[in-house]
Amino acid sequence: MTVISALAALRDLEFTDGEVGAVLARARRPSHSARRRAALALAAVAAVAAGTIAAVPAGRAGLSDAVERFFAGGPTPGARLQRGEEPRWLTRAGYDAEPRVLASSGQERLIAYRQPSGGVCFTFGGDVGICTDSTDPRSLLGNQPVLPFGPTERDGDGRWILWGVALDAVKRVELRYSNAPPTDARVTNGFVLRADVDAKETARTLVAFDAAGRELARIDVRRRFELAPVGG
Amino acid sequence: MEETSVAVQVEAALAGDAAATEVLVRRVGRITLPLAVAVLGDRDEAGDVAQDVAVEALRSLGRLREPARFDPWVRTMAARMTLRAAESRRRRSRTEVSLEEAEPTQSADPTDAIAAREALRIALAPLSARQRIALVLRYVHGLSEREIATALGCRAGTVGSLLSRARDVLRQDESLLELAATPAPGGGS
Repeated sequence: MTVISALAALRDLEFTDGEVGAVLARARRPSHSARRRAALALAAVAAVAAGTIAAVPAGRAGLSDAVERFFAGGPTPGARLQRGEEPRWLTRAGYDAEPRVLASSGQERLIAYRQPSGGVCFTFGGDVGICTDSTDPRSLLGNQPVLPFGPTERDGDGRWILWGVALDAVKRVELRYSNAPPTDARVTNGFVLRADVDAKETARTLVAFDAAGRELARIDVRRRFELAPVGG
Repeated sequence: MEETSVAVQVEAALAGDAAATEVLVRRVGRITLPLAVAVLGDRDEAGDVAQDVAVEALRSLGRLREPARFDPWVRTMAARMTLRAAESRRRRSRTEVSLEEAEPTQSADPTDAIAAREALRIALAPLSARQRIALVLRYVHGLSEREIATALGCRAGTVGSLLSRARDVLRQDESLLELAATPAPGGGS
């Protein structure tokens, strides 16, 4: 096969019907810039209503990211659990460090907590998780601002669940498929994303966005879904 | 004639015609996918880039001053976003499975097309992303050096150098001489 014949084959490339549908679905959504303009307008109105703009305190010395601080021994990020909501398996294990919720979907929660040894842990649903004694988030996240885990198949509809941990800058993740509109989830240092039923075959990339809608990272998740246990 | 046709499609899409919008999306795919596959070597990742280009094109269609210039406008976007994707992939953490290592899964490609693509990926491996884009615009889309320069945002002379160096690299392999000796198809919008 020569380059010229291979190049000629590129002329036949075109979108599948699924890809066309995905494009049309995405284009119908308000653009990131439109959402950002709306958010800025809302913020301006709020500032005027308040009549004053509070001085922004100078940044604290050291780490500014909640996840980085957590790894370095700082407070656990996330929302406080209501009384009695603490997972029993966690309290039985004698952990006195306060577990916190990074994200939830239905009854399932993504929880961050600290081990007695000082290590950090992220767990989803109580039986899937990861812990490390490292004080550097890059030991888990690498050079990306977001780290997906799973997927695990958990909900009654058989939908695949992708969950993960992210630095402060990431505000939204979007799972893109080969032939369907993407699904997305808000991110507050963590996310739980319910993927399409057929995501095992069609999920392609996880894209992370900041508050302004700028793309921060794009992660190939095909292998994750290929390896996901059926009925897990 | 084709310019008139695409201008009509753009006007119709702007007026809310769903069929015309779909026609434009498919047109963006035919423009972008060859570029993105040649640069990224992977149909699925190229599909992501092409979808991004199509979404951006639809959202900013109202800012296209000359509807008849839809194709050059899209080519510029496609070149820019493909180069950005290539750069992003270069920086990507090695902890992720690289695209070269990933087995083809269910794909929009038939098996023969995957084989052809793999041969192309190997052949184009020594070339830079810009050289690959210049080659595709020349030999797949049949554009002039001036038109390629518009897409890449550089001078026509720079395109000449890109193509010349690319052909020199390909000539080093006898099996690629066919490309180096083949004149580019003429014309282009």
